[in-house]
Amino acid sequence: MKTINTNRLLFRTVLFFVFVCFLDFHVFPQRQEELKHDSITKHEKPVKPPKYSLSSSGFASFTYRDFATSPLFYRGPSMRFSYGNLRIDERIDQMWFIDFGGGAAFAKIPKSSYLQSYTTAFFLRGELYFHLLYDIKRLSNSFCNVKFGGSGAYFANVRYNESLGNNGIGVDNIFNLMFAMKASKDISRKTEKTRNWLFIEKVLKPKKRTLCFQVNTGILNFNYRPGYAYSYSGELNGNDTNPIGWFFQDYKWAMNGWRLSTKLNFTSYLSNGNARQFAYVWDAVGAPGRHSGFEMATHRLQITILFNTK
Amino acid sequence: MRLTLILLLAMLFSSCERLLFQDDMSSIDPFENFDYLWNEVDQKYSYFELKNINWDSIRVEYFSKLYSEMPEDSLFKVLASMLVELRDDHTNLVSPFNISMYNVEFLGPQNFNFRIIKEHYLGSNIQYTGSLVHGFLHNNNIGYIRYASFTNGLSDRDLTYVLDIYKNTNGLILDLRSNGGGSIFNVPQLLARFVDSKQLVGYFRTRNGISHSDFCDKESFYVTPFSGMRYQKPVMILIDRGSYSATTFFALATKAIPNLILVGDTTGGGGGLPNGGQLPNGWTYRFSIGQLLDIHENNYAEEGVPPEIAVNFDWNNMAVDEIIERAVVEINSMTK
Repeated sequence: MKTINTNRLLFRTVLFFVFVCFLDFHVFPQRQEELKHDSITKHEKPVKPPKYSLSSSGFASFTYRDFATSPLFYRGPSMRFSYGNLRIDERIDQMWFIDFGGGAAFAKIPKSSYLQSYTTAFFLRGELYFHLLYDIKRLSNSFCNVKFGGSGAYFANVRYNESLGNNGIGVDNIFNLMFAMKASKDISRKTEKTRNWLFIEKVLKPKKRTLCFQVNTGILNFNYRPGYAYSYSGELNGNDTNPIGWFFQDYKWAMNGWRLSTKLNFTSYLSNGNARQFAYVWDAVGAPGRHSGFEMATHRLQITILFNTK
Repeated sequence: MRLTLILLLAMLFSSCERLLFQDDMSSIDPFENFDYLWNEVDQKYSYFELKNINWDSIRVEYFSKLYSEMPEDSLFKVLASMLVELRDDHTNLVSPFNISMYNVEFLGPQNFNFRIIKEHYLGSNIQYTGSLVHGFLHNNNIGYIRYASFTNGLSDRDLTYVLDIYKNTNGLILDLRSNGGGSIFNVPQLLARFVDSKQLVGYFRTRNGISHSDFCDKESFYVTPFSGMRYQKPVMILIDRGSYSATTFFALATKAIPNLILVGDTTGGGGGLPNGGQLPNGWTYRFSIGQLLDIHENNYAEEGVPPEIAVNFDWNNMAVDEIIERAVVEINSMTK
């Protein structure tokens, strides 16, 4: 029953993307023509969008479930740190970042009337992310700027749960090629304003600010997860055995699953060209794999400093 | 207003993982927990056929003992009894109040008392080097090395130091009695000191399908020689029913290495690599998901690896370790 619901949702998602792709393919050529025309007639070099170096940190609430080892959800806090690069203006949005984090998660175990069980997992996570978005003139207007494009992400999630014995270490390798949509709203303070707060008067100067909402949805989803029995007695070549190679010997690639992530961010630009960004990021992944599924979601509050480099 | 609406929609859209995930499966219901465990074992346990276990009839027998609202300790007893039917000490159910075990060591007599060895054999010459306890026996002609658990790490430095002490002896006694196992990587590390060329010593195979006979292709288990200090003279490996898991792996491997001879009682077994998992009520479990085969692909390691020289302890004489005595005799006869 649950599988049917998930399939239905995936079907709707696919339909949504077909629709979006249709829009994209019909609008892009025109946009390219416009750009080409502009460049020929004006004989001007196109202005390069400003480039920023990103440095982020944040707190995340992490939920996962690995059906191969437990039917229970594990939840807990984690810290995340990112470094990346962003090139953005009204026409283009190009970003990459690497992200590292770690934390602890606790099994959501039903209340016992006898002696309560507790199990804890620790995890490390690393992610590589890239996106390239172009604005869609037909959808953009004075209210907001809309961009569409693609994104790619790979993350490895290394989990350790001592109570699971030889299945205590699990590595989830998830790779997604996604369709991305971003809507940006310029909420700049155009004129100077005065605010009174507890009899303190503050003059707020004009400031450039934006509010953005981005959605990424997986189109091609790959995962590399443990095999049928999870633990595996691979070949042992004496002391020459590579423990990492031995560990991954029965991991299997699968092309299935889904990924959906959203990011709501508020960016405030400073007079020196740098900016501060506050973001709420939600990211959910499902990877049925070859044998047993994996589900994960994170809710992250993130602060980013954008250093203008060009 | 429009902006607020968008923000609200964005927040709402960003919290829908519950729609995407399958339902929460946590439960204290005895029937759900029983079914979960029974199915996991059914789909992954590796020794049904070797041990001639009818898992379906076991389900019928133990399912009938369940009832709604049964106390958790009663449920534990039912599940634990069901797992004991597998006759496997790599199979355990772990709750906050109890751990189920098969206790394979009770299948044979106890054959080890370290106090006798310390008091009547090693005396004040005993040395502790890392995970190894060692000393000279028999007028310094034989070295005795005790490795109590494969969970204790072995360093190349310690092994080299210890073997260097006994390099001029006629033979070694490596005592693995009551060694309950541990890390499999310590097995080739120790064996590497007793071979002079790369040797195939066994095979592994892991369950990979729903049918009880579904296994992946066998994987080879090689031992490669250590490049430094090695010992090529006779080595008596002392084993008993308490020698389990990684120690059984070690004992099986010695069958392919001529200068290593097993003395004592059959090992406890534990030839299958155990997995690990968790029930909907939070208890954890493990059971064997693989098999260990010898170089001729014989599948007996789970029931125990028999010694070349069978000797048992005589508990009437608490000053003599008959198994060590027999090993000494064997080394002396080989060096004459």
